[in-house]
Amino acid sequence: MTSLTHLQRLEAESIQIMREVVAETENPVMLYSVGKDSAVMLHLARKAFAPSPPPFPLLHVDTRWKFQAMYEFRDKMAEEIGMELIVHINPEGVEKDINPFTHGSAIHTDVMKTEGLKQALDKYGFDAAFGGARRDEEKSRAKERVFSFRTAQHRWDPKNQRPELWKLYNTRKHPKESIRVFPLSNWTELDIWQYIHLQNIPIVPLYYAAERPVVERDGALIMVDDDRMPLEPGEVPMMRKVRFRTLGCYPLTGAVESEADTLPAIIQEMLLTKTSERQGRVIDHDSAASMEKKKQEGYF
Amino acid sequence: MSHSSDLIAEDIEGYLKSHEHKGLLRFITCGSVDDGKSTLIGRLLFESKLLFEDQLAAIEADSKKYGTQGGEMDFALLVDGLAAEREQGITIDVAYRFFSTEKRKFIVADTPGHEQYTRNMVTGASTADAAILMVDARHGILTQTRRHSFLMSLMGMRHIIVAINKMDLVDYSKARYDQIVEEYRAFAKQLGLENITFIPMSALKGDNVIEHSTKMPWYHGTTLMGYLETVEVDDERLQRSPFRMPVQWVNRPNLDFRGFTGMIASGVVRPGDPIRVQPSGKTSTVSRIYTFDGDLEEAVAGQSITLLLDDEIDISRGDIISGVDQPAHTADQFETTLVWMHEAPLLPGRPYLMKLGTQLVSATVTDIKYQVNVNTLEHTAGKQLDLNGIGVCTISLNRAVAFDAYKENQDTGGFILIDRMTNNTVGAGMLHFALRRSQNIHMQHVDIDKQARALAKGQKPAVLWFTGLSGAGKSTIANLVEKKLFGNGQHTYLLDGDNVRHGLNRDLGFTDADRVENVRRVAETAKLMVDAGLIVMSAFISPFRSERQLARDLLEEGEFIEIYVDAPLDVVEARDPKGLYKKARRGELKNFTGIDSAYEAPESPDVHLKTSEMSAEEAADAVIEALRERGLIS
Amino acid sequence: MSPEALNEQRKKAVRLRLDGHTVAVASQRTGLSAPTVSAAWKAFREGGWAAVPVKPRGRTKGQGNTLGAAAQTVLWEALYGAPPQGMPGWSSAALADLVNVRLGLKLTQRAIEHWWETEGLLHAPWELNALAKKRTRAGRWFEKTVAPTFSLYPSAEQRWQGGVRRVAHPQRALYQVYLHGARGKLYMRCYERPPAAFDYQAVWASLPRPAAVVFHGALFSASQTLTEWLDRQTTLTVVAVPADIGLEHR
Repeated sequence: MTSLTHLQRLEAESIQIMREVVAETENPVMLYSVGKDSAVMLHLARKAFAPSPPPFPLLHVDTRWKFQAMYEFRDKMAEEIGMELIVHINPEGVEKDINPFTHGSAIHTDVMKTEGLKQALDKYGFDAAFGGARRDEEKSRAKERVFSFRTAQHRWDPKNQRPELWKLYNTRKHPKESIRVFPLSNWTELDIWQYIHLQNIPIVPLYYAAERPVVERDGALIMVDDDRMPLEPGEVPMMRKVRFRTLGCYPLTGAVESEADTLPAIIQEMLLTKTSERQGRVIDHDSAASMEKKKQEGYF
Repeated sequence: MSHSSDLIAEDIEGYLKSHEHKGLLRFITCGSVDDGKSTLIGRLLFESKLLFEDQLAAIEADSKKYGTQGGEMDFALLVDGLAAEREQGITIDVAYRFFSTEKRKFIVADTPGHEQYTRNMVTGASTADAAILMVDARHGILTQTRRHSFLMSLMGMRHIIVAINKMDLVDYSKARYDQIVEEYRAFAKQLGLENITFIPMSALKGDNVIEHSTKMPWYHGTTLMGYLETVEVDDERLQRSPFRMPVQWVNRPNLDFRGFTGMIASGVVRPGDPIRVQPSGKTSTVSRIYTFDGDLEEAVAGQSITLLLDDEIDISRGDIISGVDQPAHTADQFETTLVWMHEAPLLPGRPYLMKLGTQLVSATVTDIKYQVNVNTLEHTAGKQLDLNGIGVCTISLNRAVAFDAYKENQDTGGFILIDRMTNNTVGAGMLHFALRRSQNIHMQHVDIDKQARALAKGQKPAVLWFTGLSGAGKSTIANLVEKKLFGNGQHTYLLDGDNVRHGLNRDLGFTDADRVENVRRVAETAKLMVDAGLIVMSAFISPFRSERQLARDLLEEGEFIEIYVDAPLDVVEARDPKGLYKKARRGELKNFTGIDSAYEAPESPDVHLKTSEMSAEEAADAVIEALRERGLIS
Repeated sequence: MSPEALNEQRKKAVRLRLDGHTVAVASQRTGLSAPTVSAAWKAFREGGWAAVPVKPRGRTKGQGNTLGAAAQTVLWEALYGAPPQGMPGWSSAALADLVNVRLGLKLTQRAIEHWWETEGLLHAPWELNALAKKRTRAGRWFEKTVAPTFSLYPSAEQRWQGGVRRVAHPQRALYQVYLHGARGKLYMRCYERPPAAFDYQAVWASLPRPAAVVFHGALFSASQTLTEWLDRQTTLTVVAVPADIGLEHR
């Protein structure tokens, strides 16, 4: 009797979900954020539809402020796999030059990412979009379903959401409605890293520790990724050995000091330091002050 | 048990290796917050030490502020109460939580235990391999315990743990434990539940959850974690079952490669195995099992693969590829158990969509044999199933499907029902067996058919379906249309309340269920008349979209013309030709459409007549014109 | 556990805590109880490494009296401030002098250096010349960039190496510029924030000229002020150490 490992089961489940979407929707697309979860999702898509390349395009909703390394990686991956890559940038955002420095992270994210995504979905008429979100990312995601139904205005209405039993997914929808599908729902952060390790999935080099030019902003280490980063008068970035636990817009993504420059080392560090993935803050050794700071920031 | 930090720190490669071969266990916890369910889950999450530091810090702090355990760690705080969502009106929720040890990865389905959340519990149980039933040692077996046990047996749960919790509050008494075990065993026998493990524990104090309790030396069984880490997942049984793979998607990158993709629901397959496709029955042999990582020598239940066959046979999504000797059965009528999941009740006779594996068919519940009271297990009669209702029903499909009995295979025997109008998942069901009749029905071939008759009459038969509020003018206009058609040399018939309600539908009233049946009979009659070559008009309020769709579906493309006789309520009420609205307003008539019964206006009728803007004559002309445009009359 | 092993574990626990691990992790990895870990950590905070072992047999070399609070205050104040005229940073000798002048306390250079070690301020010079013949990336960099520059600055006194780094310290925000002159002699300055352009200027300006500095840890090209200033210097050359060349290890 053959026993399947947990990763084999997770993999098979994700593949089954992807095949259901392709079979039952008209115009699916895979949201590609260039991060580690996207990397796994893309790898699973290749497995699901091999020997053909996956029968849908990749969509990158670009805010213009991602790390250079991400752009390079994205273009290389799309070419290697042979998938169409659609890059969408919110044109109003470009016109108004929306950026994290002038407008703050909330507006920047809202306009470039959230609105940008809606625009792209409308423009190309996608009726199903794969996303790499997982249930273990945040407490609030524990109840998220694999298939999430959106109205024509991309809103989430509790009355439209369906119970998911066995391996059956109800994909019926009215015209103009769309579905967000999360094939990685049951994967944890550790599962993702283990899978990347076992399958040798290429990931953006920023996940590995290296000496990079960084400056401190509000207790976070921000990388000086290009010359758009405003520096204080006389500020000199320090070269510190850092890595990123999550990737996003570089002015909004904090690095952590680390020596982990191999995949096992990254996993080791992740397991030992045990701070939620979404944190990108400098570990402050001034214990009293850091406690206070954390309280203010609502950690307690 | 948990992730050894030493191993992680000293030998990460070794650690990773040891975690490569973990299995996966999904389990559901049944109980209420008061039973200590949240404390138990919280402790399991905590003990696996895979919590994030800020979460750890948060609960340590919260335990001091808000905890119920006097400042000590309150594990329950780790587990989100589902109360918040109740306020937001999100009630179809199951919370999935994750943790892992060196032996296994675990997925916990957490749902509230209250009766009104039966549908949540059924949903959570559908993917679980094991169920933990929480019992408070002080209270023993309660109605809730029976209800949860019944639901687990309904869902075919193969492993049950009865967690007799809060033993610390009964002085760790063996006598109390034995009492509860005995009572439960007697009850479980009724349900036919096997494979039950009893564990006395204290989630709060930690007894027998991870560590063996020192306070209960009389207990020699396993700890909860010990059980969870070692209990057999269903692998072996499924792999020994006959081979089944529902086809999801056909992969055809070029002329030489035709692969059938799907997840193996049961059994094992190897290249060279002879297979049979259901429902068509065609046979072939497996030539290759293709995966991205290379061809496989063997694939087992739970794997997602691509099958290539030796022969070019017709296979599409929805078919099931089975082993040749023990193929899936096929049928179009079944006895099933249904769990109703939606506020709008199940109406027998109303067509729904059924999704079974990868098959999507039209399904109608023909009879509710009985309902089961989830608390007492009593059987009661019922004409409809309400939310959270459980009933044994017969279902009829519009074509044969391949299936297995649910107790043999949940993936080829479990199905959902979808409402055709709203697209909601309204019910979940389990197929028990096919009804014998269905396997022997043959359609009588008639040589004289619809075409022949229509030709004889020199017309194209159709149904003109007039729908609208009472007094809108349906019958008036339909009568005028009939006159005009007759004048044109057509052969017609008009079905309306006058000639149907007192004869064929004499036994029906005006409840929703009756209206559905009324429309169904009229539609079937109209269909027979169309088959006879006639142009049939029907003038009934027919207030539900679903039923008008049913009527439309009975006929072929282009044979059904929906005519919306649109008059606003105030206008028809003013007209009130038969004085019915007045009576309804006075409460003398119940279930009157427009007053205390809904009218669902057609969203895209074939003909839309605004009778407040045109005369009946003009309306009838508009209908004639529409028929001409569609080439039904010259 | 033998006393020696115990003390080793106590020190290990302190190192783990310095790296930001929780008491729980430190406890698991050293085999010490949580209270012991906490006690060792507390001892370190109050008295440095010397205070960590249980039986103070910690006089490894020299005399190493734990420096008192007064001395430490003077030392910290000095380090965060400007060094004596003409020096690029504080040497152990200069600091010892200062303490003597301020408090009448005679400390040896070695004592200062021990204290540096406990505070994490000690830095060892790089074996730059050993890179000369290596076929590694560092070796090639040395051949291509460092050697030609050094050839313009022939004497050992003209050749400096240094860098900037953040030092993990339980109580202080601590950034350090370190410099090694002839025979590796160590000079340093401390800052509460990452040094700015004028800080680096101040350091280099105070180097005896001519001077070549191989400097690690800062991206000068990002500062126009600094780049322009460096361009104007005729008797000073700063060679930036490229990223990940491997000179600095933890």
